[in-house]
Amino acid sequence: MKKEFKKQEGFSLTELLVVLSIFIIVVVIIFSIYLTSSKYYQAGEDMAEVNQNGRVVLERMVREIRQARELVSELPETAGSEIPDSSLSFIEFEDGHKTESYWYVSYFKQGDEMMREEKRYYFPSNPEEFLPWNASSSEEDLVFTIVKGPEIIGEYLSDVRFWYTGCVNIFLSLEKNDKKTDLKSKVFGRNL
Amino acid sequence: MKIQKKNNIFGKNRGVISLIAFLSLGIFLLLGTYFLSLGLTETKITKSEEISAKTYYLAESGINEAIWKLENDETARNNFLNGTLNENDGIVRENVFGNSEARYSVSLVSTAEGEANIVATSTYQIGDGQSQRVVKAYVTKAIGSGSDWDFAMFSGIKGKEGEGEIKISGSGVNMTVNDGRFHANSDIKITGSGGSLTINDGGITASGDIDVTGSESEIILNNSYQEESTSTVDTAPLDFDEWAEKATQTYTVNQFKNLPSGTVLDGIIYVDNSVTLSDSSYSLTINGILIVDGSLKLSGSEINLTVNYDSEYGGGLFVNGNLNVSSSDVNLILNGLIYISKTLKISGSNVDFSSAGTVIANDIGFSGSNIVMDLNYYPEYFQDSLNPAMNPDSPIIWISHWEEVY
Repeated sequence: MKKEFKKQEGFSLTELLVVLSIFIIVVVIIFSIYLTSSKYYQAGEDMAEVNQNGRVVLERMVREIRQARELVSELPETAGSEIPDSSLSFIEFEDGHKTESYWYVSYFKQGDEMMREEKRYYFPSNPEEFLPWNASSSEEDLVFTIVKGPEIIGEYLSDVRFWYTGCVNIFLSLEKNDKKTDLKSKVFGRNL
Repeated sequence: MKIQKKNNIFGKNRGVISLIAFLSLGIFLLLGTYFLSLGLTETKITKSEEISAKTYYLAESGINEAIWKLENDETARNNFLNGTLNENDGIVRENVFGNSEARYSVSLVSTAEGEANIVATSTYQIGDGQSQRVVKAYVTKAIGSGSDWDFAMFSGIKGKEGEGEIKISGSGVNMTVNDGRFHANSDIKITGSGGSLTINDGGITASGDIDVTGSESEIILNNSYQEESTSTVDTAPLDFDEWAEKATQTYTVNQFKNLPSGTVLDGIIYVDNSVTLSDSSYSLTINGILIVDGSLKLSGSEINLTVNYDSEYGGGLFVNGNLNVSSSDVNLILNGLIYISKTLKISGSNVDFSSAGTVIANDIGFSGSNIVMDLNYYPEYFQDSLNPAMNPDSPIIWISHWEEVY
């Protein structure tokens, strides 16, 4: 038995130190690579989420504005290509998809969320009869009721702008964890 | 000896630990590289998606601007209506939305009067490269209007494939057309025997030929006219997506098929896919409009299908496909706009078909026997629907086709 132990040679301190050093260096490198790749992956996920939210919001608005019967919001008109300073951060229009008249849809930003709501206007004396948004009476003011919403249709909105150049121009800026994207489009309102 | 050998493994093979360590570390390194590559690829994909979305919406902007131009620019509008759009009507925009890297160009090409293809090509400059998208749209405008529509039965829809033929090959097909035109954008062929086509106070016209070759078959004109080789007539295709939005009741195919016999439905009824009514002795009444977003097949015998005009909802049967009546003893009373985007085919026997309004299909064929048709031109029942939607402010430009090319 003694002979057997004598024949077993251990590692020298130098060997251990060298191996440990190499091991630690490589582990640190690998860990930093892992952290970096995780960061990239998370950044990719954030960007994808931002893109997806932008597309959902834009598609939904475009679809409804395309068929809108009338714009309630007075969008500033411009001939230039720049976004005008007076552009609005909300839009309201009469829904063109419903068979019934005088349903109004509005989109606006609340915090970092894009909201949508449906409303109808009426005079308090006759809440059964819904009217156009600009109906007037010498006796009472027009009021509205929110029939649906406001509901969240998208997140991570940092800016929303609407303006008019013959088409309704839409600018969306979205941001999540420093990942930012801007989407811009024009939509021609068939009935506007 | 065996024990000694085991214990001496490391002793006799000095450096093995280093080797194992390096191999393990190599594997870790590979894994690390893989993760890094994965992360980088993910980032690249996301970046690509981002720029792709931006470029796509840029191209969409071009399409929308072009449609705006067709509506508002007098020269472009006239060229569109006359079928003479040219490269001068195109649009080129640099510095779109104030972004010097964004541009689009749009070409407008007439395919016929009131029809055009719009192709928008957008580019985003990214460093030395660029992202490009091409979006195509087919736009068409009803040159006439619902008030000009004087057809009791019409075959051949603009923008759809098909011959626009009316073929009566069945025996004993007796048709009466009152007050309107009976028109085919292609030929009218009566090859069946013992049939008659009676036109009262209207006309029979065909852009191709009118042939009666069936034995003992005839065309009877009462205070009416007959013309061949007329110019083709266009009508705007119905936008079924828009009509789906207008529906007051929506049914899946199974829900619709399971409606009990004798059901009466009021409003604009939308069925989301092709449907076959195969029950015998089945009756269904619609007071308003029945929209089938697919084909409608009546294969059960003794089916009674009634569509009545309603002052609130309008009236009609809109089929986004074929209407096929293959059974016997069928009674169809269809009032309003009867619009079949593909083929109207009656192959069953003993079919009574009466209509007040107008019947439009891309192709029409009656091959069954003993079919009695009573077609009455009644504009009040279809003008709103054909013009082109239920409200007078409905769009005059129809976008029937979108295509995205990468």
